[in-house]
Formats: sequence, C-alpha cells, structure tokens
Amino acid sequence: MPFLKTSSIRRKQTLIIMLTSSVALVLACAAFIAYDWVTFRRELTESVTILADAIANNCAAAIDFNDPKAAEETLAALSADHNIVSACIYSRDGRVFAIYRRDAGSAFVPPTVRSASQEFTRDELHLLRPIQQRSVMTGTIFVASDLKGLSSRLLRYGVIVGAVFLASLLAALLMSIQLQRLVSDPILDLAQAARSVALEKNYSVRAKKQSDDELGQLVDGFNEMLGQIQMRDIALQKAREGLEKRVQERTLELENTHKLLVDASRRGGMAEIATNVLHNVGNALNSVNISTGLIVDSVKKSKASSLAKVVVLLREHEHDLGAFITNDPRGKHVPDHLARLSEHLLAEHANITGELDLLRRNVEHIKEIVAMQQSYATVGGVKEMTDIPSLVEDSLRLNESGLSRHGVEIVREMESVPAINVEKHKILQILVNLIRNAKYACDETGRSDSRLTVRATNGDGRLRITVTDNGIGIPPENLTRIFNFGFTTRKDGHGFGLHSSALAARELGGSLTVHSDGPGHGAAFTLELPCPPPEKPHE
Amino acid sequence: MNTTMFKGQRLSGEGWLAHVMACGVCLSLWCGLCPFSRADGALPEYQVKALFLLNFTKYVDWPPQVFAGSNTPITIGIYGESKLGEALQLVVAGKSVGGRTIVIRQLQSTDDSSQCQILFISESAASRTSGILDKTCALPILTVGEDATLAQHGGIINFVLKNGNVRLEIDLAAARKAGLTISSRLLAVADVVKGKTN
Repeated sequence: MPFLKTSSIRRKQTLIIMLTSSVALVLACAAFIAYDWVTFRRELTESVTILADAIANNCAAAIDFNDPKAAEETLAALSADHNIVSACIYSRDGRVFAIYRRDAGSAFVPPTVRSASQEFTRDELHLLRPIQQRSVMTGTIFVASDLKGLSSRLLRYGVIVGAVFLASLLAALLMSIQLQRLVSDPILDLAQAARSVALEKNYSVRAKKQSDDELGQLVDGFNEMLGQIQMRDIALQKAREGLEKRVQERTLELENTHKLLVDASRRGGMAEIATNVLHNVGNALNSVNISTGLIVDSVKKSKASSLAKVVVLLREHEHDLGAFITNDPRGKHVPDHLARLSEHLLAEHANITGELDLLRRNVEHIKEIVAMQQSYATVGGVKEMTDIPSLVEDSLRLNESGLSRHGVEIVREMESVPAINVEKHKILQILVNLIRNAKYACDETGRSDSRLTVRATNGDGRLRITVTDNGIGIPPENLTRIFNFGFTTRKDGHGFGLHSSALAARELGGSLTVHSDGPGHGAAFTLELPCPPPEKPHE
Repeated sequence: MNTTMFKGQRLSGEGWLAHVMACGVCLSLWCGLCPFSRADGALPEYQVKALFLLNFTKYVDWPPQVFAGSNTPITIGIYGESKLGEALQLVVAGKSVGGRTIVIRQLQSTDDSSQCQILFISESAASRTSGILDKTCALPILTVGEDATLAQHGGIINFVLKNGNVRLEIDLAAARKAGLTISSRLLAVADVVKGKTN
C-alpha cells in the first residue's frame, strides 16, 4: 500500500485504530446477528413444536375415533398464530386426515409423511411431529411456519447494528483523533527535531520530552545523542585546530631542516669540489715549483758570466785584436771558447724556454681549474644550458690526479647527447662523487686492471649517465640502503655523499640508481635526468 | 403411497409383526388391518368398531385395583356372535397400551364378565343386554353396545350409525357409577354425551 508508506504517522494511527475498531465491531455484530439468528430458529422451532404437540394432543381422539371434522376444528385454532402457514394431520397409515390453510385460496399440497423432523426451507419451517395417545402412535402432524418473524427481526437487528456501528465508529474516530496525539505528538516533535538537525546541522536542538514511557526514553536517548555529537564536534574542532597548528609547525621545521640539509649538501658538494680543485691546483703548483727551481738553477749555473770574461779579455786587446787572436795563446782559444759558449747558451735557452713553457702550461691549468671552480660555484638554483660531455670531462679532471695516481683506466662511451638546462654544479657534484666512489672501489681490490667507464646515453626522454667500475661491488643487502643518510662502508666515510647525490638527483627531477651483481663484480650507478625531446634544439 | 405408509409405520418403531402378518394376507384383509379408515366407508363397520374398542383403552382410566400389576393385560370381553371378534383379534395382536397387552375373550355366561375391563355386547346378544348390564353396572367395566336400548340399561358407550359412519354416544353418569374416568378428548368426539355434571 503506497498510500500507507507516505502518509503521516498521525493518519496511520487513526487509520489503524479505525480499522481495528471496525473489524472488532463487525465481528461483534456478526456474532450477535449469527447468535440471534440461531436463537431465533431454535426458539421458533421450539414454539412451533409446542404448538404442534398441543394440537396433536387434541387431535389424537379425532383420529382414533375417525372424526376429521373435529380434527379440522382443532387445527383451525392455529389461525391465532399468523406465522403458521399451513398444517396437516395424517392418520396412522400416513393418509391425510385433516388440513389447515392460513390463506383459504392458497394451494397447499401436504408433504408425504415422514418421521419426526424439522427442516428450514428458504422461507418456511417445516415441522413433523408424531401424535401419540398413551404412548401409542396415533398419527402425525405437519406444521409449516413462515420466517417473517426472523426476517423482520433480522431487519430490525440490522438497523440497530448499523446505527451502533456508525455511532461506535464516530466515537472511535473522535477518541482516536484526541488520544493518538499521546503517541504521535512526541513522535512528530522528535521527527521535527531530527529534521532540523539534519537540515541545519544544528546540534543544539533538543526534542521536548512529553511522557515517561518508551517515547520519553526515545526522546531522552535522542537528546543525549545530540549532546554527545555536540561534545564530540567541539572536541574534534579543537583537535583539528591543534593538529593544523602542529602540522604547520612541523612543516616549518621540516622546511627549515630541508633548507639546512640542502645548504649542507650544497656546501658539502662545494667543499668536495673545492678539495678536488685544491688537490689539482696543488699538483699543478708542484710542477710549477719544479719548473721554477729548474729555471732558477739553470739561470744560476748559466755560462753567461764566462762571456763577460771573454769580453774583458777582448777589451784589453782591442788595439791588437787581430794579433791577440792569432798570436796570443789565450787569444787563440777565444773563438773556440765563444763557439762553445754560444752552443751552451743556446742549449740553456732552449732548456729554459721548455721549462717556461711547462710552467706556462701549468699556470694555465691552474687558471682553468680555478675558472671551472668559479663557473660551478654559482648561486644555487641558477639553471644554464649544460653540455654533458664537457661536464663529464670536468668531473674526470677534478679526480684526475687520484685516478692517474692509482692507475685507473678511464673509458668514455659518450653518445651524442643534447645540452640540457640544469643546475650544472649539482650534476658535477654528483658525478665527482660517483667517480671518486668508483676510484675507491677500485682501490679496495688492489687489482692492476682497474677500469672506470663513463657512459652517457639518451632515450625515452631521459638522459642517463652511468659510472661503472670493476671494483669490490656491493652485497645485495646493502643495495637498498646505500642511499640512506649515514650509510658508509669506508672507515673515514660519513655516509653523506651518495645520500646528498640522490637528493640532488631528485631535485633535478631525476633519479640515482645502483646496480651490482654482488661483491667482487663491480657496481654501476646511473644518474637519470629528464631530457627534452631532441626536436627542440636550444643552440 | 403404500410404500410410504410402510415406511412411516416402520419408522414409528412399533407393530412390525402386524405388518408382516398384513403382508401375508390378501389385500382386502390387509385393508381390514389398517387402523383407520376414511369416512367414505372404506372399512366395514365391524372393523371400525373393533378399532374403536381398542382405542377406548387409550382414553379410559380404570381404578388402580382393577389390575393386579403394572403389566396386567386389559381384557376385552365379547358377548354374542360377531365378525368383530375376529377383526379385533387381528387388530390387537402384538399391541400394548400403556404397557398392557390386550386380551380378547369370547364370553358365554354373565359370570365371566367380571374379569373384563371392556365388555362389548353385540347386536346378536342385545336381548340379553339388560341381564348382562345388571350384573356389571356396579363394576369398573366399560360396557359398550350397538343397540339403542343399551343406555336405558346402564351401558356406557353405544355405537350408532350416522350417515354410514360409526359414531359414539356416551353416558357419563353410568361411567361415574362404574368408577371409570373418560378422557375429555374422547367426549369431544362423541356425538351425544349424557349425564354431564355441569
């Protein structure tokens, strides 16, 4: 019943009460009518039986002494009862002895005689009674009574029942309208409160308690629930505010830490580069020093002074120079001496010139290194177009002295890779770190065929620089934590280099990964960087 | 009709023997066995009278001392020759009224009458009526006759023919004298009732 689903509880209650009362009334009325109907039939049967028996008693002698007229006179007494339609007396052999008809003209055919019986037809009661005298069967009497009494009585009853039914329904309706408020009002009040809570999210609303029954308990429970929700709301609000504040604080802390870390890493990287720079500068200065010493020695030991002695000797004999040279024994040696001196000075000059050239080259090298250092020591965050091969060369050069000292063979497998726009000092820092780690890995093995391969490849929008060594390798259990801060396998390591390198790679939008087939099988570190598509050349 | 009749009688629960007997005899005889007849004279007069004699036992009360016990038979005595005696024998066979069976006695001498409760004096014995009644009028005997002089001699019930029908004349005074009580219902169907007290 869709109607029942949508109608209000008030209407439903009224409907239920009315339905219940109606059913109860109908049942009660039906029971009364049925009872009365049965009672009436029984009473009618009884009264007609009594009547029939009385008539029968008075007719016995008439039958016994063959006096139909007397019997008919007796039967005529039945006219006093208007309900008796017809009657008839049978002699003992079943023949009709006397007949009575209420309406003289009516056609009455006496039924065939049977034993005592009573039978209700549609509108008549047919009664057959034996006629006895001194317990001797004398004959049979048949009496037919109409049921007008019953129908009029039922009609009367129907009217009364209908009136009572309507009056009761009206009374029930009036009472239910008033009384159902006892139940529906608190429910509607509660529903109203619930709706206002749902619509306005107003948890300060409270339903009014109107009784101490289950509905009252429901209202109490509802209100308590609202109170709890309100309290929880407040607590939640407070917690959220506190949480926000704490998140902000923690974020700030983290940002600061991050900044510090980045600075530290940058400083670390720069220090590393600086160390390498100084190392190389030192090496170059060594050569400069040696060259300078050699030049100084050479100049000190120069035969130029003996030339001055020859000049003095020649000045003494400037008037007889020819004779002196040809006749004087000392003069005879002068040309030879000058020739030898000239040779010597030429050799000396060549020697010094060579040393000076070396010196110049070393100074040039120092200049380059310093210039490179300056070019990388830019302010963080500045991007510039960077040529990867030259960057690789720079990083190799920064480790040059160490690599050459330990006799590590350097293999370059450089594909043509495009210049990319990055903070290049970060890449340099990473590569220097990787190359130095490779060098240490090779050192540890002590093998003579140490080899370091730098490979640059480009594909899938990624630029990969792989530094591979054939050093001691990395055990699998260390592969996962090798980038962790503080992880190191070296006695004097800090566990900072690879960690900061990985961080730097991530800052560049790339990644740093490691591969090793295990101890003794070397390792390969790959720096992967985002590379713009080649159809967008930057030059 | 006959079937219905049988059915009705059988269901009444009595007299089946009579009906078996009735089936054994011829139709006319069977008709004679029927307890009632219509006023159109379907039954011979003597049979009607025999039935009436039997039916009197249902409407007359005798003083209690008449019967030795509660099931002492009622004796009907018959004076004179008549077909009625035979008819009566057939009618009463197997019947009982108020727990008493009916016994028929053909009387020869007036001395025998004192043992009877009903005494029928047939027309053939009408000449002896006065003698018989003299001896019985003080006894509790229902005297029945078919002679007009019966009442004069103190008889109680007299059969008279009226339009071919057998009717009754009752002398209540004689009945009272004999100490008998006659049911008012019987009086109601009697043609003439003499000696009413009121």
